[in-house]
Amino acid sequence: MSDGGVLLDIRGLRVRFPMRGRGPVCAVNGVDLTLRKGESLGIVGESGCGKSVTFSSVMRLVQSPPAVLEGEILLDGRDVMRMSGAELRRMRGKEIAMIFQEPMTSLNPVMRVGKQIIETLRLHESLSEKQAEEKALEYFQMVEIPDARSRFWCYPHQLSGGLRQRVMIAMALICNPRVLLADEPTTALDVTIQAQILELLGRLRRKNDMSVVLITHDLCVIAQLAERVAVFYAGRVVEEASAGELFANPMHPYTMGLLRCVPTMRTVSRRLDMIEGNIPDPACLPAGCAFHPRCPFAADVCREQAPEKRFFGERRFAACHRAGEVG
Amino acid sequence: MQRQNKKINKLLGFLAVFAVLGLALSGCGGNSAESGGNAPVSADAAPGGEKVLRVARDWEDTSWDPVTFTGAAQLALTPQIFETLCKLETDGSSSPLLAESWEMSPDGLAYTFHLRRGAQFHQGYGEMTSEDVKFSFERNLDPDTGSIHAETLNLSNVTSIETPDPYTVVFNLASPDVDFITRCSQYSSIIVSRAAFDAIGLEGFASTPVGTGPFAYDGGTPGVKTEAVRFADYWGAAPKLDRIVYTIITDSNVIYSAFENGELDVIFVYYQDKVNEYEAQGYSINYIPSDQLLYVGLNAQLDPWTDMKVREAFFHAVDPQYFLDELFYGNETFPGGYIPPISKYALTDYLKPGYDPARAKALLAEAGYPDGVDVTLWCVNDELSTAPSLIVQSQLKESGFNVELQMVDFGVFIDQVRGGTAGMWLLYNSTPPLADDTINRYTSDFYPGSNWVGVTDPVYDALVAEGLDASTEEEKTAAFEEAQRYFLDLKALYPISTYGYHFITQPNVTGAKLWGDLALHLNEADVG
Amino acid sequence: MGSYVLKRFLSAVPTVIGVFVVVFFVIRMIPGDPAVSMLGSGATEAQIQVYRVKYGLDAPLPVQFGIAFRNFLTGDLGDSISLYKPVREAIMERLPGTVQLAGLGVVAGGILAVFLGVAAAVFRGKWPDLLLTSLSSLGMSLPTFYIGLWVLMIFARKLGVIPVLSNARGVSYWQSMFGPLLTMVVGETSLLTRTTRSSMLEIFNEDFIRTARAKGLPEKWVMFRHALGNAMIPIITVTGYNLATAFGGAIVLEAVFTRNGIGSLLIGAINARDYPLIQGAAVVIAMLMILVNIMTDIIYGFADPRIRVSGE
Repeated sequence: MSDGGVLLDIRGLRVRFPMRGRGPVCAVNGVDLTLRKGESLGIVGESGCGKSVTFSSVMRLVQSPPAVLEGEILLDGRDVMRMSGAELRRMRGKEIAMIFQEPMTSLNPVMRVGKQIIETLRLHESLSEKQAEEKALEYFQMVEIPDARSRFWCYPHQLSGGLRQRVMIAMALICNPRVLLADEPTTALDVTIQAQILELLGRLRRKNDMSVVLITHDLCVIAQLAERVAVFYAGRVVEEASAGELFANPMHPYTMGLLRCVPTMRTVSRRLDMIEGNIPDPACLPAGCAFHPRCPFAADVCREQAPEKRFFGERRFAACHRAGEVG
Repeated sequence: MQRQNKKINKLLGFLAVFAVLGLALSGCGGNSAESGGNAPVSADAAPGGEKVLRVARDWEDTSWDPVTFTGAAQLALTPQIFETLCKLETDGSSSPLLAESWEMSPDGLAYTFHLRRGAQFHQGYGEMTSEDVKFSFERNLDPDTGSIHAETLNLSNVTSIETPDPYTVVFNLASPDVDFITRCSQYSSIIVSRAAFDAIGLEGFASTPVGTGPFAYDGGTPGVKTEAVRFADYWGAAPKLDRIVYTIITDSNVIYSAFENGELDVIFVYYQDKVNEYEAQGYSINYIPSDQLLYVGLNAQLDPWTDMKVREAFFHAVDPQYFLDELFYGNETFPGGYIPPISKYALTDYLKPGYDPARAKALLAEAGYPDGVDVTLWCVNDELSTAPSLIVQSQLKESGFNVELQMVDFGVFIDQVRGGTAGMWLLYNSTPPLADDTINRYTSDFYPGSNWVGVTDPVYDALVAEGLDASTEEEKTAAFEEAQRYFLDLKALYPISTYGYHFITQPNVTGAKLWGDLALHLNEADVG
Repeated sequence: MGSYVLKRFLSAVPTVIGVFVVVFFVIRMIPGDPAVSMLGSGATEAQIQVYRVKYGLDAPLPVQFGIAFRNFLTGDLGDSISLYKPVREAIMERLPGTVQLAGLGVVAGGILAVFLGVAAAVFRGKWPDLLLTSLSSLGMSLPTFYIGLWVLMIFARKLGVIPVLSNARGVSYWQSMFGPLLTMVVGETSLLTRTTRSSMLEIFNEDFIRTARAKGLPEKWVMFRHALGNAMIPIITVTGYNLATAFGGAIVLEAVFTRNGIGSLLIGAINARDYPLIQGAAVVIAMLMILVNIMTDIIYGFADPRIRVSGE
C-alpha cells in the first residue's frame, strides 16, 4: 500500500509559543516527516512531545499568532503554510480530515449529529439537503452505527462514547479525504470498543485508499494499525522505521524504553511514565540530546551535542549518538 | 417531536431577525423623515393652524369629580372646564359667572341666585338649570361620592335648596352666613351636569369631566396628560386658544429641556437661579404670590415645647430676614400672621420678627436648659423643604437648640405631625380663599387631628366660634382678627415667609394667568 | 412539554399568592395614611372618615385582607382609590406600553449585545475588545436615569431628531420609542455583551470548535453556529434577568421620557397610597417575572438539548 508518491511532506517544522515573562515554549523543533499515498503512519510519544501540535499545524489549527510557525508543509507540493483562508477551508475536511481524542467534547453538544455531518458535506460538495442526508446516512451505516437512521437525529449526549467516535469517523470520511489525521482516536474508549474502532479505521483506510496518520501514546494501537512509525520526543522525531522493524529492533533508547513498557501485545496498555524521569520542559530543553537525562546509555557527547539523524536504510533512522551501539 | 423542535428553532430565529430588521428600518425611517436639520421637532405642532397651548406641571391629582377636589388647581385645567355660580376675583370679591345676579333676604337666611340662560354643558348634556345647581350642592351630602366639601360649604347650615323655575335657585340657611357668596365662588361649589351623572355614573364622573367652561375635556390619562378643546357652545366670550395640552412631568430637568426645546409654552419654576437664567434668555417671567406660607410649627403638648419660655426662645432664635434675603432673593415678605395675605380675614401686620439669640439663650436657661436642649425638626424630603430646614437647624444651633433633622416622605410626615408625635416641623401650607378652615383647625375640637400645634385654649376656641357665628362681616372680621392675635401670642406656629410662584412662558404667549391658588386661567390666553 | 409547562404554571400559583399576601401587608406598613395623603394637610377628621369608609379603609386589617384576597382569587384586583376605576382596567391600559418598551429593549439590546460580545471575544485583547469592555463597564455603572437624561440631551436638544416629550401630539410611535429604547439598549447591552464575550471565550477552548474548524467551516459559521449556539445558556440567563429588570428600568424611563406606562401608574399609586392599585401593579409585575422565568426555562431546552425539560 505504501508504494504511492509523497502526499504530505513536512520539512523543518518549528512551532514556538511565546510566553509572557519568559522564553518561548518550543513545542516542535524541526520535524521532517513524509506521508505517502495510502500509507498509514503511526506517531508515538508521550503527551507534550509535540506530536499533536505538529499535526494541528498541518491543519493550520494552531492559532498563529500567538504561535510562530516555521518550515514547510507540502500537500501535493502546495505549501499549507502559505495557503489563503479560502484554500485552507477547501483543504480542511475535504483533503485532510481529522478525528480527535475525546468524542464527547469534539462534537457540538447542541447540534444533532446528522446535522453536523451534513454541514461538512454541503460545505465541500454541492448536494441538496436531501442528497446530503442520504449520503450521510450511508456513511453512518459504513461506520457500523446500528440503527443509523434513528441515531442520525440524536444529540451527542444521547450516544455512547463508541458511537460518538464512529460519528466522528463518519464525519471525517464523508468527503473522502486523502489524509486522515487520527489524534488519539481510541484513548477515551474502553478496551473492547478501542479494538473495534481501530479495526474499523483499518478497514476504511484500505477501502477508501487513504493515508492515515495515527497519533497516539499507545504502542499497542500503533501495532494494530500503522505500517510505519515515527517516535516523537521533545518536539523532534527521534526514530522512524517501519512498524515491523521498530518493534523488532528499536534503535533509539527512548523507543526501547517505550517498548519495555508494553508487557505483551493486545493486553491492557500501561502509561508510558514507566520510563524514569519526566519529559523535559519545552521552555528549557536540556543541552545536547533532549533525552539524555533519562537515558541509561547517556555519554558525554550526549550531554554536549544534539544528535544528528543516523540512517540505517531508506526512511529508517534514529537521532541518537549511540544508535546502533546499544540495544 | 425532535423534528418539530428543529422547526421551532428555525421559526424563533426568523422571528428574532425580523423583529430587529423591522426595528431598524422603521426606527431609521421614522427618524430620518423628521430630522431635516437641527430644528427641534415641534411636538404638538398645530395641525391646520390650531392654536395650542402646552402646559406642564410636576403634579396632578387624578379624579375629575369636583366633590373630591382638594384645591382649585387639583387639575390645572379646573377653571377652564368647570365653573361656579360666582367668580372669585383676585381681590376676594365675587362677580357673576353662572349666576347673573343674586340677592340675600333681609334676615340673611335666604340667598336667591338668578341663573344665566344658555349656559351649555359639554359633550351635549344640555343647558345648565337650577336642577343641576341643586344636584351639584346636594352631591356633597351623599356618602357614596366621598365628598369632602360639606364642611367647607357649611352645608349643615343649608336647610333646603329650592328650584322655583329652571333659572332660579334659592338656598335657605339655618343661620346667617356672611361668606355664603364666597363659598359659592370656590372650587368646592363647581356646578356639574345631572344629566351627565345619570348617563355616566360616579366612575364616569371621575374620569370624564363635564362642565360649562370655555374648554371641554378632550381625552387624556390621569396623572400623565390631559387635553381640552375650545368649547364651541360656550356662553361667554370665545377663548382664543383652540386647544390646551396639559402634561404631568415629574422630573424638573425634563420640564426645562422640553421648554427650552420649544415643546412647552408654560411651565412652573421653583428655583430662583433657573428663573434668572430664563429671564436673561428673554422668556416671560411671571410671579404671583400664592396661598401658601412657609412656617415652622411647634406642638405645645410635647416637651420641651410645653414650656412657653422655650417656644418664646424659639421665636427669638429664628431670623426670617435671612430666609427672605438668601432663600427667596427678596421676592417674598415676612407674613406677619399665619394666614396668607391673599386669603380673606388675613391678619398680616401683627407678628414682628424678633431675632435675638442672646435673648433666646437666656429664655432657655430660665426654662431649665442652660446647656441647650435636643429637639427634632421634621420636614418633607422634597427639594423645596430641604434648604429652609437646614437654615432653621443652623440658626437654632446658635441659641442652644440642638436640632436633629428628620427628612421624610410626605406620608410619614403627615402621620407624625397629625399623630402628635412631631414636636417641631417645617411646611409650606396653603389656606383657601376663605380663611375659616385654617383658623378653625387650631381649635380644641380638632386636637388630635388637623390641629397639629396642640393648642387647646378655650379663649381661642371662643373667639373662633364667635367669628364663625357672626351675622355681619364686620363682626366676623373683628372676631377672627382677635383670634389670630391671640393665637400668634401663644407662639406655637412661626410663619417665616410668604411664598409665591414663578411661571415662565414662551415670549409668544399672552394672557395666561396663574392665581395664588395655583389654578391657571387661560380664557384670555393666546399664542402669537 | 405541554405537561411540563402546565406543571410550571401550577407551581407558580403559590408564589403569586405569596406575593399577594406579602405585598398586602408591606404596603400597609409604608407610613402614611392613604386618606390623609389624598386629602392633604388641612383635612379634618370628618373628611378623612368619609374617605376611609368609602374605600373600606376603616375595617380592621384582617377584614380588609379577607375581602381583598377573596376578590383576588376571583381575578378581581379591586378598585383604584385614586383613579376611580377597576385596578385591572387601569393596569391593562398602561401595561402594553411598558411591555413593548421592555420587550423591544431586551430583544434589540440582546441581538446587539450578542454581536458585540462575539466581536469582543473574536478580537480579544485588541482595540475593539478593549473599547467594548470599557464601554460596557461604563454602561453598567451608569444609572438608567442618567443615561436617559443624556439621550434626551443629545438626541432631543442637540440633534433635534426626537422630541423631549414623547407623549406629545404628532409624535410618531418610533419617535416616542427611540429615546427610551436607546437608553434601555445601552443598559441591557452592557451586561450581556460581557456575558457573551466571556461565554464565547470559554467555548473557544472547547474541542468541538477545533472540530468545526478542522471540517473547513468558515470562521463566521464557527462563531455563530457552533460557538454561539453553545454560549447561549448564560446569554439566555442574562437576557431573562434583563427582561425582568427591564420592567424596573421601564418604570424609571417612563418618568424621564414622559411615557405612559405601568411605571407612571405605580409612582402615582404610591404617592396617593392607592393600596389596591399598588397591590395590583405589584402582583401583575410579579406574575410577569414568573412568566419570564418559565419562558427562560423553556428556552433553555431549545438552546441546549442536554437540558431537555422533564415531563415529556
